Amino acid sequence: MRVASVNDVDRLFREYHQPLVRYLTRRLGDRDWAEEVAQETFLRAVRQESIVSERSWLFAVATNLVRDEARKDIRRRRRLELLREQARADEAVDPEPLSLERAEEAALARKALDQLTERDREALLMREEGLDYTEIANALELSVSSVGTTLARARRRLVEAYESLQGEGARSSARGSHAAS
Amino acid sequence: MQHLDEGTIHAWLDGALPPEQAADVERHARTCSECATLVADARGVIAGAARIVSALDDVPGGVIPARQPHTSTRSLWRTLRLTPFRAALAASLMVAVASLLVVRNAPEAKPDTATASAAPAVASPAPTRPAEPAVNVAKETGRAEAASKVVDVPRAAPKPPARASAFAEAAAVDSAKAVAKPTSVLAESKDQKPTVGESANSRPAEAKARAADLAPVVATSAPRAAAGGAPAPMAPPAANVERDALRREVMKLQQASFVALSADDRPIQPPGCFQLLRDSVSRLPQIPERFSLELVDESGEHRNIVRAVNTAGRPDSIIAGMTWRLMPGSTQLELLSNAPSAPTMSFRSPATAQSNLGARKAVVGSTLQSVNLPRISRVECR
Repeated sequence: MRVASVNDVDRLFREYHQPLVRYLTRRLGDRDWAEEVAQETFLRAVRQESIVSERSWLFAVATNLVRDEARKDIRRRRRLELLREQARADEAVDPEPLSLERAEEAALARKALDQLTERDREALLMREEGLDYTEIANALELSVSSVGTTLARARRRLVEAYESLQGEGARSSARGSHAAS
Repeated sequence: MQHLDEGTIHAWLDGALPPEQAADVERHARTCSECATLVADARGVIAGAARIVSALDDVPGGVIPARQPHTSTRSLWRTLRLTPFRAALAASLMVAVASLLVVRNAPEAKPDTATASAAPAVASPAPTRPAEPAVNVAKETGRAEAASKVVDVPRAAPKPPARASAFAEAAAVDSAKAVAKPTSVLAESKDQKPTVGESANSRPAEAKARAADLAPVVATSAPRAAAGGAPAPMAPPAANVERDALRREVMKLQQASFVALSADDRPIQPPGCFQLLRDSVSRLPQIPERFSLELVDESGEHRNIVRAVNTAGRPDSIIAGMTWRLMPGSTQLELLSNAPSAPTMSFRSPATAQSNLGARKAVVGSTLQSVNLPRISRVECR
């Protein structure tokens, strides 16, 4: 496909923007950043002479952009510092119980995901966005036959890491309540 | 048949095996209890992993602390610090205002005298370079060339006051580079192997990238100024125009919006909780019946966010990709979504249909449609 006309861009955007941003948000944990990377990805698609497999191309470019950024980006560090400052300043604010639960769940999921290797993580997130094995293989430069093994490993490790983190959390809260009593 | 390995089982459950192999796996799983257990286990793992991944989408409510009055702990520098976005926005606003002033002040005057009188007036409040050259160029050479020069001139601008100009310059340079050379390896690769070769050098800060995004805004301000004056005999570099047009298209597509009116015709005053009054199903599913409009301060930048309000009346999760916009004192709220497919709103209520609202025009995606605008009323947050 040649991506040059406005109609093509329009179609490409409507079809793939949402899954791409969701993939990137899950990958980066930052919606704004994900939007920026997605926008850059679409701009590159516009400049591209021709694309054979659109979805795998877009996901591959977005993934590569993330990798490149992650190597040298200080933004996350700066953001974490700001959040830490904010958390200190606002210690008195009590989040609602339900929200806290969900926040914990999301934080555990993020930690568990971070324990995967980059390739496993990307393969898993792409699969969750509905990419088929061929598309994942193209995007990550894997052989199609190894995608099943990669996904199996990624899923198992993710679940194990999540359960292990949950167990740690439960143990530490039990220790805390025991010490308090 | 050998026992099934985990990768094959996952590929089978994902529907990725060819039909014959899938049939073999299915047959084997039926007859081999050991593999049947593995298949059951894999199903659980797949479901569990999917659930964990979806938990990443939760942006929980209550985690972002409620806004508090500013205290002295926040330094003035941080409060006033220019982000790339603000700087570029300021630059484009300056150019637009300057252009407007000049056009209004000297619509009939000769180009030379008009320029001579208008430029100092524009430049006097803040001696930044972009405004003056923008006017001159627009008057002298017409809209097209003005568009290209507005972003070129600030290269010589002084540093501190012209921070905004620096971003405009960065935008121009970045934009020109991007067009002039196909820096991306992707653009050159014939076998479609998408590797990114560009970004290694393209990061003298995200400022450039952001400013580049705003370049079209800066560039298009001048033509407006020139609209009532000189014709446009010269065209800007075609590649720039094409790139900017496509960039604008991408940005436009990113936002779909719908408009709601205050139910009691009093100004809508966020922050607070609101209820959407309607009796038909919205085709913009992101907006729940009750929602809250909030302004949060995140990473030094203010963001307008929308939260769902739960049945207990408490603001809950942030609705991802939604933001809101409201003019002070306005009764008209605009909710903007990043959803890819522009929602087509069609609120119809007997009450509103009979009211004197009539059909109003609401911006929905990139098209104008006549709809009866939904109404919102303020409800109590808990």
